[in-house]
Amino acid sequence: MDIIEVKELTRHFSYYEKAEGLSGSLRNLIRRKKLVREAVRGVSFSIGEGGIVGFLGPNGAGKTTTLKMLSGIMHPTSGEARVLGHVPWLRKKDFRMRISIVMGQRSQLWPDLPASESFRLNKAIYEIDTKDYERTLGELIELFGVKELLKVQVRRLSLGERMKMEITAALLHRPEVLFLDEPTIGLDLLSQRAIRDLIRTLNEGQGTTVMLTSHYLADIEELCERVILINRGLIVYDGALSGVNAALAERKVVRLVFSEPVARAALESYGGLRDLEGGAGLQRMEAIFDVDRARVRDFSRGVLGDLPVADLTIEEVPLEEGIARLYRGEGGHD
Amino acid sequence: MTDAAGKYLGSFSLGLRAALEYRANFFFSLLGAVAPVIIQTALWTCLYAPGAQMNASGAVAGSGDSLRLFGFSYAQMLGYVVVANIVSRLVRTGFEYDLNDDIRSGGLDRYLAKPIDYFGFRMAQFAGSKAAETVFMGAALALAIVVLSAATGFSVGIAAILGFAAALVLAFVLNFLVFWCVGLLGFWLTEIGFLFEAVRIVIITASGGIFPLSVFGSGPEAVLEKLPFRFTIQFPTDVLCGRVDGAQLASGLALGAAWSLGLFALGRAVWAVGIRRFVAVGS
Repeated sequence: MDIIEVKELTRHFSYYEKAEGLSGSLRNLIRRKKLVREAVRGVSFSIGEGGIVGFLGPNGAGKTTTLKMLSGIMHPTSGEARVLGHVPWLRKKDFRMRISIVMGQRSQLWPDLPASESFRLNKAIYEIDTKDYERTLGELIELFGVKELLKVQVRRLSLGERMKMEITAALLHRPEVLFLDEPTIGLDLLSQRAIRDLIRTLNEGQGTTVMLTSHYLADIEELCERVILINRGLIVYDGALSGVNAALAERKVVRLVFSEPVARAALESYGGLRDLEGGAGLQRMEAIFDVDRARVRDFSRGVLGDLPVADLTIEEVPLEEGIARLYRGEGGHD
Repeated sequence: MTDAAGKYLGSFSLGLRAALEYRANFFFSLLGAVAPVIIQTALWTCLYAPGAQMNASGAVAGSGDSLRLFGFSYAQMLGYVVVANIVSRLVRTGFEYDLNDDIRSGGLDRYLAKPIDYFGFRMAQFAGSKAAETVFMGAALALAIVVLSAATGFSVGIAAILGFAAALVLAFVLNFLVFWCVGLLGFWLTEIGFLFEAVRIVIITASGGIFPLSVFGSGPEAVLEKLPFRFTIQFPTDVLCGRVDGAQLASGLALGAAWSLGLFALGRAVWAVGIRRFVAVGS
């Protein structure tokens, strides 16, 4: 069953252009030029129960706008969406009781009070039974290892500690759908890992449907089998994570380490030279080539026969690169 | 207790705890009340000094100990100044800055996604913070009354204290609603911090927080009597100072309650339009 259904969702923002300088400001007082930015342009997708979907895109691609519409915080300009059977922006109580949104750059905790106070307020807001509250809170603080920090003023916590508290607050009512907007932004590796582990545990243990945006591909690679890529308000890819590169040109990265220096011109003659390190008096020289999958065998045979190759490795195109190419519109829909 | 009541009790409790966290801030604000009281006491002491009166029409009656300015004896005026200053500190709001910040920075988002009414949340939180402050303020007020009664013979009866408690609750509600309505302008205006201070000064003056309204003369006083503001400072002050009888207390409370209902309805209507705009425009 689809938990999230989105059809032709569109969101425009209007803003005013302001000319530079004092004269511009004065002209603005009389007449302002109104411009329209199309933040989200007719996106459609659906997410089944218990899925973790990575929602990726560069800054300003429309990720947060889409999440805001799906959590009921923002009205669309046009289009339809249903989350748990509800139209989100009608903000029915039943809908709000069953979802949660965490925005990495926006706190829901009261900075001058310990996080435990905000948790207690959420217990009241979400009408959580005391036993359930204590059990859930106990589990979450155990998983995050933040028991000793419960009574510390939130503003005295580190960024990572605060984010663990934010997520704890968002999960106390055991939401069925969780929207996470950059939950690991600015965190150290250990904190990022703790948050990823918790998301996975939650998804596997409670079947929570998760929609996650992140700039860190490690988050996406570890958690999401499916990704939706959005760029300039349009979905440029929706499918398996493993398909991000497969959807692009079938290419491999061939890495060669040489036992002695080789002239650059000799390497360039093979075509596809992407990078060259070392050489000219250095002990180690390494060259990286982009090679069509079909040509890899011939290419390898050629360089092994002609050049002083000490080591040869064949790798997949890095995910970041695949995504970047899709953003640039070099891929297609799945 | 219903689940819905629990939410707002939780918000009340949060306001209470936050006020306790900020108790030093509150004590300093109380200390800030001392300076205007001293200045006004000095001013009125001069004005009540024999031979010092200006012969403004209707302002002066009698002479010596029986001298009355604007309908107040010297002891009554000092009582008014002290009580009105404390009441104005007590009913003072501050949530409008949070409201404005929530609108401007998009912090409202986190409430919209939760099953709670933002107005109810802010009101309950305000009530919680005021509950904490009232305890400190009650002690300050009791001390002020003891000092005043020793110095000027000012006295307060039990009935006046009970009436004052009722008038104070009304003042809290009314002042909250006034600043709620002002704060909602944040949906349309981007920078309104300056407006809050301007509005606050005008409202404190129009509420009798600086001088009794009779000081402004009969014309302006008649106009100000028709507005809701006097119920936030002058009315509770007059009740405690014994200048209001039982019937006036009842009618004042009823009129203040009617104003509250009107402002509540206005606030709801403005919120409905503003939130539609917020959700439509985005933050």
